Amino acid sequence: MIQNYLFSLLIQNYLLCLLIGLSVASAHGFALASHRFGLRRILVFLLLDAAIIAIALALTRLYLLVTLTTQFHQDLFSQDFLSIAFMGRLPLLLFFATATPYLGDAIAIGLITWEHLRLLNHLIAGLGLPPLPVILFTFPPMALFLSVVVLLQRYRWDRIRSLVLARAEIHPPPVQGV
Amino acid sequence: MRGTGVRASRRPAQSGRLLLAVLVLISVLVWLAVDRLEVSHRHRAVYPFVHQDLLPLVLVSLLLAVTATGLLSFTSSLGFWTGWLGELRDPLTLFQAPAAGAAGGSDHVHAYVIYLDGIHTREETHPRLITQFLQMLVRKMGPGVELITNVEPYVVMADGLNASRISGWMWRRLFFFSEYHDSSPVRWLCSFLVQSYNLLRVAISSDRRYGIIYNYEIALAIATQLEKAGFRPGGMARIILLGYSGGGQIAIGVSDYLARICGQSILIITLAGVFSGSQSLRSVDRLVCLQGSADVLSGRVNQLLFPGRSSLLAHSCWNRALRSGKVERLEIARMGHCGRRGPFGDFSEQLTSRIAVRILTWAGAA
Repeated sequence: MIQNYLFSLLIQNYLLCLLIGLSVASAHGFALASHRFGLRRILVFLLLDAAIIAIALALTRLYLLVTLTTQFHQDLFSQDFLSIAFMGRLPLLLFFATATPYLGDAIAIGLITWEHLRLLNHLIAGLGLPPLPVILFTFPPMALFLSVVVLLQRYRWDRIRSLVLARAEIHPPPVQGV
Repeated sequence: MRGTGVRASRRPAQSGRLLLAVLVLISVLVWLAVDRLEVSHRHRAVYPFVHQDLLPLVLVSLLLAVTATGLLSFTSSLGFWTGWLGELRDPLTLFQAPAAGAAGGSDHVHAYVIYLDGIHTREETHPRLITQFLQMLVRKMGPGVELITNVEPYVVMADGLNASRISGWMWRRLFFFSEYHDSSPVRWLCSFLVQSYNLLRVAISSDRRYGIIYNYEIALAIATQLEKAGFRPGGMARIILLGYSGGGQIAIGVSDYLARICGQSILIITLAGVFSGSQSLRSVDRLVCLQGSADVLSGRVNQLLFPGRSSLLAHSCWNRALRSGKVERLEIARMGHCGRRGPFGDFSEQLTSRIAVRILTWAGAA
């Protein structure tokens, strides 16, 4: 009974990772549309990007599991840990909102901070772990996730920039400098 | 010819399916988020959406509303770029006709000045104070400078918002009511809605993702007006952008693309300019910022809204341009941002003289 519950919870966790990946990928959906790709190609790219984000999230989860086992001797497969860790990720489902013009960066920072604070709250207040080591150990996975998201966004939009510049460039840029 | 083959292969049905897929995806994500929120509420209280639990729901709703408005505002730009809403003009077809065929010709013109209005703008026509200001400027600049005032910096459609098949009826009523409705609250509300739309366009222009496409489309619109006025690349005439308030952001945003399309560097004058400072100024020869000492909006508020203008980010495009010496800031004592105390009111005489002298100097140096 408990094993079944844990298994379904694990499946839910990885399904959640994929949904978060889709939410993050849809934030640069307009970049894909701007390439004038067909619908099938856009969906393939969205799924590919979602898979990359999901893998990055799964890696951060693995890192946390290993860290908590070796450093803090936690029972990783306790229902409490898994269910609260699942709930902690929920703010990232709103990541598609970072597509908002001008406010995108602020929304991204807000959502990631919200998610990270929920995780810290769970580990410190919920499981009673010491604050400073927890803050130190949870920083690298957040940085990894952020790096993947930023790199993916930049890659998708930078290609648009070169495409637009190529279209505008009847003449070479007149002045080089700033 | 660059990129034209790709555009021809688009099918309208694909765009509809894409939009539907995106809407379904967003709906599923929202449903999941709300569902999980409700579950968490049920664990804590019998009445889930009261007291402190109301705040996250309000915040999430606000977030979704802002996101939807922002994305819808960009959809028309995207539609033109992808070809869903019509074809954008290919820059290679610009300036092909001989200049003699254009209105006025170009031999006697030393500079083309393009006026880009602030977010209060409704249509091609300008309010009375601005019209007087521009007429005064034309008189002071003399016959060697051509002033172009019919560029709509917040509209990517060739015929303006009025002519839109989908929302034209709404814009026509909004424009009419904002000027002629008997009730002042209605006039205020309609003006507010139009200005909010234009403000979103300023935000899009300053966004490093969406601004790429939007600024290119506005640059094309400006280049088309330049072509009609008789400008031809390779001549001696300079291109000068004069941007008021949010028009300053548009001027800086389009400069790189306009320089590539027209084959020469751009000169910019911002009048109480509100701009992000995150756009590249590599194609700008000189940038003159005329700002009032009593103008909080283009001063402190601008720095607060756009971190790129702050001195804390030393490597922002704006700060690099400041260090390179191509930016000149001139402060006008006691001038505000708009109205009688703004650039088009009591200070118009002084400002038009300053701007005219600067433009004539640049035109003479060409």
